[in-house]
Amino acid sequence: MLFKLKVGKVKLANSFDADAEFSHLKMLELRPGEGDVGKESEASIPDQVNHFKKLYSLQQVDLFADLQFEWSSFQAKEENLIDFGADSSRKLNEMIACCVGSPAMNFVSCPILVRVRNQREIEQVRIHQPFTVEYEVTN
Amino acid sequence: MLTVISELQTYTDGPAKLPFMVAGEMKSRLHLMPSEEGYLLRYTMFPQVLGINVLPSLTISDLNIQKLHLIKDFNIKVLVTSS
Repeated sequence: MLFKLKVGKVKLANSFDADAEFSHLKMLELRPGEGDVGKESEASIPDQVNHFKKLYSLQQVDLFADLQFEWSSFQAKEENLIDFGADSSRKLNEMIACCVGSPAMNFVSCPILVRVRNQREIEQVRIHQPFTVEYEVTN
Repeated sequence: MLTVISELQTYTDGPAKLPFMVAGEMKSRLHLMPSEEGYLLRYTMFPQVLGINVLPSLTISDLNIQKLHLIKDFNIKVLVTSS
């Protein structure tokens, strides 16, 4: 069975009315230019800064956004002599049994210790005389 | 199972005369099993220089993962005397 998976829609968890926000900001921008010259705008500079900050936050993608997926499965269909082109094997949004492979594991996380087993025997040795070092490796 | 290779590193750019000469196996391939308690690596050396010398460093690396050293430059000091 073949199946494909694609992202259909992205729905932000924090729903907002973007058009309303943009229209409000647009209104703030138009106010200084309209009407009497020299008359101060009703929207103060801190308000405008706050609105721009809000606009910037709205443009960020929420990490906890709800993703809606759409998938379709294709089953191996039997060969027919007469094929009218209808794709009857395709089924939309049906339950698909699948499995996910386990992540790679290794034993590196288990520390490996090394110590010299005959430490006392090799603390002092004689020149030109062989000696043996025994390294003990433990899991 | 973890396949490792242990190597007793020699001095490549040290003094002209090697502090120790190593006899026997320089590289060992180990298969570390979690159920095993441990392994024993045995090296025979010949002291060449008097004084306090550092043994060739022991490094244990994983064969499957390159440049992954499980034990890096493990060494000890040995006093070499004439009597």
